[in-house]
Amino acid sequence: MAAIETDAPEASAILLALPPLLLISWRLFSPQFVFAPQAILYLDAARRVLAGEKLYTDFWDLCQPALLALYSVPQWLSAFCDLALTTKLLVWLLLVASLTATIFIVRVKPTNAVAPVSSPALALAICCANLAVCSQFGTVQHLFMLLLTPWLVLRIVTCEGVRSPVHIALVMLAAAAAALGCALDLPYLAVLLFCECFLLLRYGAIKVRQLFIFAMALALIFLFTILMDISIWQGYFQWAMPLRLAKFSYFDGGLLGTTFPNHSNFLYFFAVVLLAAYYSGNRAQSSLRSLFAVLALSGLALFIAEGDGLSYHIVIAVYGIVFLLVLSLISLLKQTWQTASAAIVLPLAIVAITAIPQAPADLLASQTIDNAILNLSEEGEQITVIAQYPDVAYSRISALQRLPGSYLLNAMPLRLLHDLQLGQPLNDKQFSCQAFLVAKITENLASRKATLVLLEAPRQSELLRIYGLSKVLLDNYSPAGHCQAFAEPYGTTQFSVWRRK
Amino acid sequence: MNTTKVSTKNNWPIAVGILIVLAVVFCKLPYWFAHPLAIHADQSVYLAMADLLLKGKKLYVDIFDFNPPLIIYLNTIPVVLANLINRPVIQVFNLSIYFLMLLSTTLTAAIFYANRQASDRYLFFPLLLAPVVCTQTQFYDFGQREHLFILLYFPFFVCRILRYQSGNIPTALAVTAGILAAIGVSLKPQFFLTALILEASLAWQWRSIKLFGSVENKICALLTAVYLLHFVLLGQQSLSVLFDQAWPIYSNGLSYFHIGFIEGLASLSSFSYPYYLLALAMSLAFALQGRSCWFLPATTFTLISLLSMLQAGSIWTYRGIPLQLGCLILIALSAGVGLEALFNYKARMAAPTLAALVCSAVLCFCQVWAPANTDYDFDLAQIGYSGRAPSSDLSLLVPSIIAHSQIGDRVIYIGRGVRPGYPSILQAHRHPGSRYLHGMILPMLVVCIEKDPSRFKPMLDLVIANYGQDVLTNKPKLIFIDDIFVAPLFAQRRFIEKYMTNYELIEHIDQAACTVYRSK
Repeated sequence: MAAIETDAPEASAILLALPPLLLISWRLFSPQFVFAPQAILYLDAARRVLAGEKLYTDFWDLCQPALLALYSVPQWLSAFCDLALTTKLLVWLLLVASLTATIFIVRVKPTNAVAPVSSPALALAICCANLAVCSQFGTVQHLFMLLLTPWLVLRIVTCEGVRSPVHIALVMLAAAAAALGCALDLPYLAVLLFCECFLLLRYGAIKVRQLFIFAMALALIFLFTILMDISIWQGYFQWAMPLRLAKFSYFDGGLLGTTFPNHSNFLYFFAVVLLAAYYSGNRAQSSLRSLFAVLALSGLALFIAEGDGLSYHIVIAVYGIVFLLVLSLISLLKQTWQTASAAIVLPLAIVAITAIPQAPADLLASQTIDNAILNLSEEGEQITVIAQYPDVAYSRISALQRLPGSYLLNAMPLRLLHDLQLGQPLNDKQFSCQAFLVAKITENLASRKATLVLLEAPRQSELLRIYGLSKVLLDNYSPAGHCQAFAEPYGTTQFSVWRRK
Repeated sequence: MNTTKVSTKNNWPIAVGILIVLAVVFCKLPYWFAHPLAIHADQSVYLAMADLLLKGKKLYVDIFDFNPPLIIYLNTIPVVLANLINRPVIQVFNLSIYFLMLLSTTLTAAIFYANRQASDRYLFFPLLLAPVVCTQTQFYDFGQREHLFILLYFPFFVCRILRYQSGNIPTALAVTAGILAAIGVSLKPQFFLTALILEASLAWQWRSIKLFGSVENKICALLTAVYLLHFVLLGQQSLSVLFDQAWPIYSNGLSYFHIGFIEGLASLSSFSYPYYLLALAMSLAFALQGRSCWFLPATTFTLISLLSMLQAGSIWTYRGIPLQLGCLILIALSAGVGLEALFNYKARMAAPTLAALVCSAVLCFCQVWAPANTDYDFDLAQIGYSGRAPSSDLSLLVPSIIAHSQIGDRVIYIGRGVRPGYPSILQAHRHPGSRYLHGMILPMLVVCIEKDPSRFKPMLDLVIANYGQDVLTNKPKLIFIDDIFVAPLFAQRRFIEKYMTNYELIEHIDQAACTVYRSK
């Protein structure tokens, strides 16, 4: 690949990264592009935060406070522009920033003879990895990857060199981004530490100064959110964090019989790429490849630990493996192919191979959730969703200009507490959390703020009955039929629709 | 292979290593003595098939199965031994597997001992532990074909890598490893394929095909060829059932047992275990890539085993055993690299190495330690033996079988799978009453009929008629019929009216969703 070996690597990087970046931009800014439901859910939660509502008091979710702070940025900017466009623009800028920072990090070559990777190859890998997860743009794992990538590259560059040659401002920027990424969800810090363990094993040393800067940045983020409101952290540590951890050892029996999406094909791809990468790498030149292999493996472990098979939980694994694939292919094609053909063929091949399963057209056509929302509510009215896998409902509510009014953004905690109780008595914290949630949902339904209630059927209906919440629902809402939506992981999610009396 | 002189001051690690290996090897032996009836479905059904084979029944004609027959031949060993010493065949089977693990470990240890001067000798003790830990963590899948494969193949795997490293492989050990590997790879076609890919990987790694003709390879290839040739001796009738019925039904109908990935995650906690192990082991392999030439073949074995497990597409956890072994080999290699660093006084590696070793040792013992059940509330006299066993080891149908039949009576379970008919019938010391020891063929045929009705519908009729014929000929004392799937299928063909007029309905077993009929 001539361009990779040119004297002006930044120019080659731009040349190579441009086609996939244009593809991403074209997809992202096309009117048909819709953010993944998880992104929409948290954007709406951020709207509630900006409107003065408090996490764990006015609404409840297992997410971390820093996550909502990040999603608040496009919501805040949406005062000046359309929310979808603002969000698209911010995600795109974050991608470009991640790409630019990474290129600048590898620009300063380490002091030893073998450079870990060239900036053109890296730029192509970043763009292709993002292209592969394009349908999951804006989800938490995708944001995490954008924020983490410069840090990982920085660490490799530093470990490969005798001393860190990267400018301190760039180190601080990468550390701050990684710290923000790790603050987005509980297991992400573990992913980063897993990668750091890899570096420790591979190089037998830790670059303490960079890690110190990272730790300081993490502490600052923590402090910032504490200063915003300490009661949020009390709620998080007392209730949300223990439940989030409990979820990792929870197996949802309701997923038996589910068929969509089937990630087996991705796992075949994953195994083959790992094998090819292992064969194509020699120790001196494959450190970055190996690091992204480890990242992909930790992403796979995280996906398995989440246990629900949702596509937005596999983004780290897809990103890592595509990154690895591109770097391995570049290494392989270096002697045989020309830059131009690689730049065209690689992204196309990656898109073809890693396309995340799309909803079958017939099932999409059979969606009736839009009709239910349109016929039974007006624009700007609130709709409460009580569902264990509610993302699709939030997506449709947002698209149809209604406002979610649920107390529990996701009913998973109720199900989790119920199922934990079946095994053994709940501890004091779990019990108080359960009582608090039930009281708040009762209050939410009794307040009749929402015009409609979408209740995932039949599992959540049964759960409401168990918790004694059916009565308050029946007292304030009347049944208005059923609707369905195509969504992971059931394929078709059924909702019973309740209209305010 | 590079050799260096072993320093005498370093002998204590060898003693510690031997003690650790012995502790891990023998720590679960009391468990299998204390649980004489602990067995799971597939293993028990092959023991029953082996018993039928020893009684002169014809393979595939009088004993129907989808798999190649080697596993049935192997199971005749515990059956013969159990008859000789009058102990439950299940206990003898479990101890036979234990013995096989000892044999495999001893053979591997002997190969390592012959190469004790090798520069990478620090890898040997951790490597020796890999198949042992893998064995000791098996409960449901102890003695499954995949488990036998890893035990039989592992010495060969070690032997081949050392051969490429120009190691010292005494001919007797190479021949023994070749014989064991031939048995292992002949158990299932995918095992043979795994071995073949690994051989190609070794040739690629060392850029040489000269060692294809090594003695262990020759023995392995010869015995595998002999096994393939023996099919000719099975007879026209057996081959006809095997090729015209069993394998077409298997290839077209196995999808009945396929499940989605998410469903697997949601249904069984052990489903995710190999994936966590994979993440850890492959990360170590990437971190330590290039530190030892053993990593590449071990990684190949691991990822090929992952592909093989994915290809199965079912929740059958035993399909993941080779993957588990691959991961444990990689973890063992990493521990070995750490040991080497530690004993070579590479100071900067010492702290992480020590931490990794302590973690590995704790993990190892936590994984393999299994206290025996102390509640021995089942008197083995009920099934014709002396001693006691925990009733928690008994399968669902055992109480009903014991209550309504005598030792040695014939019993049939007609359901969708092997469980709960087996291991119940074997645990109760009863004999199978039909050529179909399990009913997997029925749902598979239903799937096949959806694809090609004209070909498979007559087969379903034939199978049900065969069941009827077996009832009339063998006169089983008890017949268990699955309520959900089989009962409606048989009702359409008036099975009970045609073949079971001499039977009375005696009970429903809700937990097993089946109805029990007893001969009048």
